[in-house]
This record gives sequence, C-alpha cells and structure tokens, in this order.
Amino acid sequence: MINFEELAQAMGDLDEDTMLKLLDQVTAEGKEAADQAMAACQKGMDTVGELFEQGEYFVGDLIYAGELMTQAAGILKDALAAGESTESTGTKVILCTVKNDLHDIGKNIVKAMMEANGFEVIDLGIDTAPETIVEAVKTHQIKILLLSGVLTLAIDSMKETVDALKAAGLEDVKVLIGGAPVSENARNVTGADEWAQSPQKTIQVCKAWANL
Amino acid sequence: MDMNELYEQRIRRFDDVMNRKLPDRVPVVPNMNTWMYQFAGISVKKAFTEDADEIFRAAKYMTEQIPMDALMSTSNTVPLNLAKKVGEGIYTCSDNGVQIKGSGGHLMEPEEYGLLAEDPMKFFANVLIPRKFEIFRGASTEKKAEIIKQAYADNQAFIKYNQGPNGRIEKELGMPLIVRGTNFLSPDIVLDYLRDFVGISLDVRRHSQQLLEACLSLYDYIMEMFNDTATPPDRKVLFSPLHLPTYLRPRDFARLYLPFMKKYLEEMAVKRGYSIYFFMENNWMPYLDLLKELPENTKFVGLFETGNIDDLAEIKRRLGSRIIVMGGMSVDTLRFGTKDEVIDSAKKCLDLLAPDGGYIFSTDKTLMTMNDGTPENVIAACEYVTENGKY
Repeated sequence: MINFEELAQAMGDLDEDTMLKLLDQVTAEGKEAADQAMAACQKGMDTVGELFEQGEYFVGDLIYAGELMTQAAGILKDALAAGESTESTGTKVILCTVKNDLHDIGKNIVKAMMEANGFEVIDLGIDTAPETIVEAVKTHQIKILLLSGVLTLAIDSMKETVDALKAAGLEDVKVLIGGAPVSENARNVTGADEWAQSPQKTIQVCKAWANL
Repeated sequence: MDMNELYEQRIRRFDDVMNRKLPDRVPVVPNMNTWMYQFAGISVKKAFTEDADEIFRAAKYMTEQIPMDALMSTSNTVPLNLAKKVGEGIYTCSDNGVQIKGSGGHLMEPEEYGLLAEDPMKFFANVLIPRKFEIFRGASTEKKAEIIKQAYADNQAFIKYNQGPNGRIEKELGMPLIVRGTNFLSPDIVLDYLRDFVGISLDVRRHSQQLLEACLSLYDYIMEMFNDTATPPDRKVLFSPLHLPTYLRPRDFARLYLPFMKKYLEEMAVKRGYSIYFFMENNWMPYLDLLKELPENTKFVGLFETGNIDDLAEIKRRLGSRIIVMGGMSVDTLRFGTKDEVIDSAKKCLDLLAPDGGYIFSTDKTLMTMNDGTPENVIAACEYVTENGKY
C-alpha cells in the first residue's frame, strides 16, 4: 500500500529520491492509485508555494518543484490514461508574457504551479501582442487572463492588453498582472483587476475568481 | 566652472565615499541606463550601432538638466555588431534599449560540468563556441582563424566607437563615467550563458558538487583573463551584476556563491586595491548574516535593488563596515509618485542612510525606459539630494 501522505511530504520537501521511489510503486497499481498520487503531488506543491510565501523556499526551489511535477506527471501518464478518463474539470486560463518583454521564467513557474492546482493553462509564450491575446481569449472563451512581465515596459503592454479586451467587449474577463515591476500603482494604471508578485497569491486570486 | 575642476569635484565625492572618508555631500549617482536616451529623444539602436555622437548628445542633454555626480556608464556594453556577425547571441537591441532573451542561455548539459572544470578554455573553444555559433561548425582552421580575427577587430572597433563619446562626456561635461570594466562571478556565467535559470536551479539540487567545481575552475580562468588586460586600479570601479544569489536558499548561497564573492573581494579589493561595485539584485534581507564573512573596510559598494529604505538602513547598520550602501530611491515612486512623495522618499534616504557617510544616493532599479521615472520626478529627487545632502 502506497503512503500518499509520504508522497505529498516528499514533494513538499523537494525530496526527489523518495518521490521517485514512491511514484514507481504507484505505476504498478493502476489508475486509481495514479489519481491519488497526482493529488498527493499537488498537495505537496501547495506546501512548496506556502513555504515560498513564508520565505523558506526561494525562486530556484519553485523552478525545481515545477520540474518535479513535470516528472511526476510523466511517470504517471500511462497509468492515468489507462482507466476511464475523469476529464479535467480545471478552469481554463490564459497566461503569457506581454508585448516587448522576452522573459519567461516567472511565467513558467506560475504555469507549473497553476497546473498543479488543477487549472488548465493555455500558454501563449513571450512577447505576446494584445490582439493575439484577445483572439485567444475569444477562441477559448476564457474568463481569467494572467499577464506576466519583468520590464517596466511591460506595464504599458499590460495596459494596452486590458484596453484591447475592453474594446473587444470582453469586460467580464478578469485580469491579473504579475512580475517584478507590478504594484498597486501599476494595477491602477493598467486597469487590471489584481496584481501579484508570488505564484501563491496568483493561485489564491484565481481560485476565488473561479469559485473554487 | 572649469570642466576639469567640475570633474575633479564630482569624482572626489565618489572617491571619498569609497575610501571611507566623509565627502562634502552625499554623491548622487542614479542607476542610469537607457532612460537617458529616451529622455533626450534619441534612438538607443542608432546611438549604440550607428552614430556614437548620439551617445554624447544624450548624456549632454540629460546632465545639463539633472544634477548628478557620475554616470556608471553610457550603457553601450554589448558589442552588437560582433554578435551579429558570429550569430546574434542572446541580446536584442531596439530603439528602446537592449534586452536579454529569456531562456536563451542554455548551452550545455550537467553531464559536461567535468569537462568545464577540467579545462575551461579548451571546453569553451572546442565544444561551447562551435555549439553556440553555427558559423564555426565544419569550418576549416583557416576559416575559424579568420572569423576570430574579424571578431577581434569588431571588438576593437566597438571599444573605439565608445571611446569618442566617453572621452567627451568626461572632458566636455565634467561627468565621470565610473565603471572601468565588468567581471562576472563564475556562477553567474553558468547561469547567464551556460545553463540558464531552469538548468542551474536543477543543478543546485542534483549536481551541486560538480557545479561548484566547474565554477571554481571557471573563476581561475576569468582571473587569468583579467590579469592579461592589465587594467590599473584607479578611481573607477570594476562592476559585477550578481544574478544568482537571491534565487538560492541561504544555505545553498553560502556554499555555492558566497565563496566567490569573498575570494573576489579579497583578491581584487583587499590585495590589489581595486574599487568593486556589485549590483545586489533582488532581496538580500535573508542573506545579511552570511555577508559578515566578507572583508571589512574595503572599497566595495553594493547597489541594492530595493526601494525599502528601512531595509537599507538595516543593511547599513549590520554591514556598514563591509559594504558601502548605494540606492534608496524606488523607481515605482519615481514613476507613479507625486513630486512631494518623491521628495519625502529622498529625505528619508538622507535621514536614514547618509549619517556618517558610506552612502551613495541612487535608484533601486536601473532606469531603462521612461516608464522607470518621469523626468519631473527624477529631477526632483536628484535636486533634493544635491541641495540637502551636505555633510
């Protein structure tokens, strides 16, 4: 019998060896165990986010945690696919780095942590033009949009994006801006609904928006 | 005033602080980057690649309106023409500035750390350079030599391109350009150019010993190259941006990064008498106790990337004998604050950070575009400190 508590703990501790050993056992046990294992990893990932908020973990640890989650999903993929598909009920969100900004580390961390929390993340990449974003929001019928940036130039692009959403009649889309240059001031200027400098806050806000 | 005299007066302020003497007033050295060009309405691309006089014009336009004691540099630090010929690299230049492409610095795998540690020059020359620059792949020895010769010539041309405006800025404007050269600490070379963020974050956990050994080897190689340039210790600084530290847990920082800061300061500042300028990126508060391992009373200035003046005061209180504190003015306030808020903030910098010297007024982040501060606010901040920062 697999100890899922131990698995969640290993993920939270970023203890790769223990995690891999436990996941190995899971694959032998089939679909139900795989589902439980994924849930345990997600729980561990929450712990990682909390420890980051508390200043115990640092950005390097978040990157490592994201890698461990990807590994876990890879190992469990076959087992997860084996049984009846329990179809992801995750809320869809769009995430991207805005126009004129080429940075992707923060965006990728947020993506990994959002996915670990059950969101379905459509990643539009870096240097994403407002019109591309508006188009994707329409196509995927998105209600939550996450805009990332490192440069202060990004604040202009974030504002352009929010303006473009409004112009397209998409006022009901909730927008969160994230990254080094954002602040309450930046939120005001851009017209976004929320701002965050940590993935944990991003997740909390998105959960509230999605009524989770 | 005579420009020579003005230059002397300005650089002396900087000098005095670096030598731990009390200057006539707090030196004002905003962390100026390509903001200067936008302020002057000049294209960064044109200034950096086509017309060097534009660099001088931008500096003249700005320094005539904003009181300051030095510019760190003109920000034209990447030989873009050279990079273009051998294959772009990770930098892109536009009218607005120069950017590093995210995730563009992944060039080697962790299994190769041994080779890097064994002989950095050999590994760079034979493995990394051909891997990064397609132009070398499959080329004959003669062809490779030709490319390198051309690259060297392009680099010389780049140095010469900058010498013109740099000389004029100092002579005709009396404005010191403070950075003499840039060195990277070896873990930052691995981060920026070899393994990128994701790679090195995983290596810290999975291959930390190999990473450390490679960095030690690379450090010696960098120092060897620096010695070859015979740069004299003078009134200027050697600059290093510290990229990796604050992404690490303090215990990883203590093992994988701090030793390089310590080694470098002991060698360059203590033994050889250079002035060292580190850009202390991000939040350093969790690491302050560890920095007590750094040597005391050296010419070492740290520009801290925080607009939290109380934090800076704590840094000065705990580490003032080791680090000359630079910074204080938040670009968020410079962009969004009212003039009164800016002045309040500048006053707080003087009240909390200036007493007894060891402080240089600057901005917490580099001023890259007009988004990093309105002209009115930048002027107000610098004017306030020049008028009220007297000792």
